[in-house]
Amino acid sequence: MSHDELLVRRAQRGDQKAMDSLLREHYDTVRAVCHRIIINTSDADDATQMALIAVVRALPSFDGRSKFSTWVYRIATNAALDELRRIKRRAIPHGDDTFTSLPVSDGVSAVDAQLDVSAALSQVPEEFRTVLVLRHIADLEYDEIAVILEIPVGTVRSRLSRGRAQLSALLGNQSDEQDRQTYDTGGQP
Amino acid sequence: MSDFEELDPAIHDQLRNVPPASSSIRDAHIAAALGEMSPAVRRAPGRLRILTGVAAAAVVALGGAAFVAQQDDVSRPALNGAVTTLPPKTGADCAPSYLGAVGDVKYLTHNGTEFELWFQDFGIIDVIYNEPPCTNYGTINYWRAMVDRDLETSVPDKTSVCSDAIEPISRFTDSRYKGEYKFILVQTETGLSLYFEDRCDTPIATLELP
Repeated sequence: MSHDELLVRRAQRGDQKAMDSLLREHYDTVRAVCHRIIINTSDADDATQMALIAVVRALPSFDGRSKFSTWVYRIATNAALDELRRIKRRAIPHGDDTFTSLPVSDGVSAVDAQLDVSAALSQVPEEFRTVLVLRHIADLEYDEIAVILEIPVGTVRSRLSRGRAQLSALLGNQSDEQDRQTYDTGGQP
Repeated sequence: MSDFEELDPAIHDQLRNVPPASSSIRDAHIAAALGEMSPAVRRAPGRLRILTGVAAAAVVALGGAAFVAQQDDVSRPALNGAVTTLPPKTGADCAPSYLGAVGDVKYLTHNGTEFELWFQDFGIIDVIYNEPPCTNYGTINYWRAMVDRDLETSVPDKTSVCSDAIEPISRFTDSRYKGEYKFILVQTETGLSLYFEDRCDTPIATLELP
């Protein structure tokens, strides 16, 4: 039995310390998922809160058929997407979904890098961004992402590919092929 | 998976580099979630005030065009659609052993089925079958409505105040999120609808009942 499984069993029996440990263990990833899907900090924090509450409320129904982490990230993803829908309802449409190249910093400043990736992500379509986040932040496998988003694995693969290409382009890495060759030959990217 | 299929490592690192929450925010988030863990540890709503109510098991018949129920995704029962089963009770009334866990309890009957409504923290109204094992049928969550309203920069073009003639299941005020908002919860032919009392045109949330 894994550490998570043990904590889940204890939490399901009402052990508050076990629940506390579970939430703390997954907090950063839940928050990162929400932040990268939503972008806006305060809205993402709201989604994080709602996700944690949903985890606790739904824990009695968790049956262990999936990994606890996958289950938690599914809830976090739903909370983030739910929040996005609300944001869209209240937002003034910007009317421009096309992505364009952003001014890219030299990568010297961590703050600049943070702004760059957040700005770039905000221009990646939601369906691609969500898959990118689940793969690269939650570290989920393709089949796990497919289950969470209720889409075929092939769609996960294609969305990931397109999402990576768009993100790379937005951040100034215009040629994936060039990167691939660089990695392939062991050179520096 | 080959590297060819992966993201540029530098971008991958940037993506994962989400600034951590402050310890106070993290603790507050976790404490709030733990408050949902079990009735025994749930906190009673701090400033939630139930202003008026109707008798137990009241069935409210509503008329008027202002109360046409509308489906709203705010009203989805739970984020993952899970149904939580609470410990079995010996009696037909689920609420007494949970008093202190919830701020107020209302009762209603819909198409012959009895429900309890538990008004809880974080803008949550749980709808519980009023018979053992006291299963949670669904949840109305109005927290976001308060957040959204707080963010509004202008008043909607069209609003109307709920008529005093309406007999709601509950009129209540919730001031736990910045402003103080008045709500009215009504039973419709199809289920429950929640409105801001001063915006009776469109429900904040609806929950269909069997």
